[in-house]
Amino acid sequence: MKFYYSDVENDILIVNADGGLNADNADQFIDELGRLIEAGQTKIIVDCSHLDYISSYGLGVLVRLHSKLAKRGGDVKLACVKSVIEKVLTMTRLNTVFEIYPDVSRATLMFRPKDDN
Amino acid sequence: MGRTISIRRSLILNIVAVIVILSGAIIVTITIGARAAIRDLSKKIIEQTISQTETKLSSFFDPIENELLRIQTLGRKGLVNLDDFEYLRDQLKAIMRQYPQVTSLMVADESGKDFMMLRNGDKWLIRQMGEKADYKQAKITEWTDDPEVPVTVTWKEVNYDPHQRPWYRGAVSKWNDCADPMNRDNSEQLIYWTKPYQFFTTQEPGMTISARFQQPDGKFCVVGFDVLLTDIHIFMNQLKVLSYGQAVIFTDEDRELIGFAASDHYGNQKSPSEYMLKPIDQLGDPLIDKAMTAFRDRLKRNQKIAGQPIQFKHDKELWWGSVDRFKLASDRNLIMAVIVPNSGILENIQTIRYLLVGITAAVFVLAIWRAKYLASRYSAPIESLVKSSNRMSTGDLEPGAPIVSPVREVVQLAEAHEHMRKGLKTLMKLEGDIQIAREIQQKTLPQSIPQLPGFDIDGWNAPADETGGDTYDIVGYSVDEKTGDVKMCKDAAEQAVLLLADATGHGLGPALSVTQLRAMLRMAVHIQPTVGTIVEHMNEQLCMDLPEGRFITAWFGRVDAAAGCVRYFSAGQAPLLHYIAAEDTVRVLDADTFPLGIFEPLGSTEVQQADMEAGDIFAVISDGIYEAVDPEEEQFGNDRVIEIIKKNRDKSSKEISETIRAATDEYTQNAPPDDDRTIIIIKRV
Repeated sequence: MKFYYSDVENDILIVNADGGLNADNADQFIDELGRLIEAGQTKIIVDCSHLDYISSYGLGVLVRLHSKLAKRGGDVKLACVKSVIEKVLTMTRLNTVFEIYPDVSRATLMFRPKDDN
Repeated sequence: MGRTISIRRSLILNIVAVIVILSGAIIVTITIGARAAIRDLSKKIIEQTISQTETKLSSFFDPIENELLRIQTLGRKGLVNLDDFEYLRDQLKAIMRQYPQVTSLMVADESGKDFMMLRNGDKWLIRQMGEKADYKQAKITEWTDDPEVPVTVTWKEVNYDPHQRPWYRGAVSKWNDCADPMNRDNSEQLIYWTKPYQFFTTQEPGMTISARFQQPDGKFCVVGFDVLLTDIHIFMNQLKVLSYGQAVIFTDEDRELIGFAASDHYGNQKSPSEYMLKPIDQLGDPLIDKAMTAFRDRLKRNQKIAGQPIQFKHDKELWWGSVDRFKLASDRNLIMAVIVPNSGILENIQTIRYLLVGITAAVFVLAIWRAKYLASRYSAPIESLVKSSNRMSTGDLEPGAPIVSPVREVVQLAEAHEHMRKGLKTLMKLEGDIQIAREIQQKTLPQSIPQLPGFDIDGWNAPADETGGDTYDIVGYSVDEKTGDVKMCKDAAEQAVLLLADATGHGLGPALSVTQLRAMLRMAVHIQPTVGTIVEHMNEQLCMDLPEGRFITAWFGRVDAAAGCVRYFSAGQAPLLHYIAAEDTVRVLDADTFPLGIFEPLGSTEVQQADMEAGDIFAVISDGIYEAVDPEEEQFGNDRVIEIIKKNRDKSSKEISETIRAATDEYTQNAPPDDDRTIIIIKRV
């Protein structure tokens, strides 16, 4: 799984996930996101529309991202998760850790304070 | 590795090569320069010697010629009267006093009258022929410079006819050669030089110069001077052409020697009697003979002599030489020949040459010494580094002698090497520690699988690194029905608690995490709390202990032999495979909750139950098997594992486990595993 920054909508960082993230570059990616989180970025959406497969390592990256955000009161939401990925998340029950939305806009909407709805 | 050479030898060879090339270039330059210098010097020395000789000969012969011409002029004017004794005596005496080489003077007319004056030391003598009509009696007048000594006059009968003398005949012949009377005004054309000969009176070598003139009264007279050539010998003896050079003067026609320069070659001076008037070809001197052969072309008569010095070899020595003509009269020349040996010319530059070669040799030796010193200075620290590296490669990581070098890069290399040594030492220690950790972890794995009635259980684990992030445990025990005490059973047991845990990543950190989990489970077995309680506590503890982002997927199982079932709970560990023999199908089971250590509370802790009928198989396998990839990066996947289980349903747990492992290795083409692999197979028999 590979991540790259896609967009920033208001205070929400949207990250595109792709295949290929491994032990060699995962730490760098997490560190980069970690710096953003340290700087106050607490809302992140991982757009999984290009993610066709996820390994246990990829799951680990998502969990690490979740842990970093959770400590700072933030959250990571997954959007456009394909069924095969969703199956893995369900199998490992990580679907109970991550909120999964069919598309980015809905995930974005869920980040908005309830007053805005 | 191709042919190699040590840095020291390479440095020495390269520096020496540069020095040799430079020295060679210097020596070649010196040699070429020396050759050019020799050629120039030889030309200059020879030209100078010839010029010197020519000047001397001119200063010797020209005044005499001028005096002769003066007398001739006087004669034309009628001032030379053979009967005027006193006038002639005074005129001729003045000439003889001024030019000592003129030993006698003659004036003769066509009638046979002759006036001859000669000097012998301070004695003077005049012989007059024709004073008496028979021309047989000669009047001899003698006197000395001492006025006290009286003049004596005697008559002597002599058989002397001036007309027969070469000087008289030559002058007449010259006169006659000038067919055009206008040319007879050109007095020089009328000058005649005899061949060198021995003077009758003194037996000394000499030549006679003469010229004819016509007096105003129409009478013809011839005036002649005997010129002693001893002065030329004296001059030549004083002329030294380097140490071993040679200069000679000889006549053009008969090549009779009249001058021979002093030379070390002949033991310095040569006596006039040894060579004077001897034909040069008959001297019997091989060196002169060689020179004459070399000069052969240039000595051809009436040929203009010019050009570069001639080279010839004699007695293995190279000689340089040149010749030139000194013109006495139109038909009488002297040849001046100069030869110098190469070594003689070298004398002048040899010292400089030796000095240069000496300096070059000294510089060469110094340079070689310096090259060795530099090679040693620059190679020694590198050699020390190589030695130290070799030592390190054999496991000796103790510090060696400090490496000192004037080269910054070498010092930096030495520092980096020292850092590497220290780092390697730390790593070696770490490797030792890891080895111990592996041993400890390996010991935590079940050494034997407890036997449960009706069940065949097998467990296997292979870490990807020295230590693994996977672990498993199978703890057999029985519970005393009365007291409720738990008794651990290594072999036969009634129940067994099983664990398969997979910490994120692999290596020492995850190994510590799963080992901690295994220890917690072991403790829990003794206390016999519910699975839900155990898992909740474990999650709580791991959330506190694990670093941020780390988690553990874990499957907990309890095999109840009496009930014939497996009760289990999975925190993120999936898929779980339950083969139902009666249906020949495999149920793929999900985890019951998310992995441990992410956050708390855990959520559901409801324990699942898998009833195990005969032939049923329950497989818990870590992702190291499912996610093993082939060279095309395709995962091994669930389906292949399911297929193997179904195919090998009749085999033992151990055999099924081994088949899965073998199939995985075959699938990955025995590539080193990227992740730890763990398999637990529970089969109801």
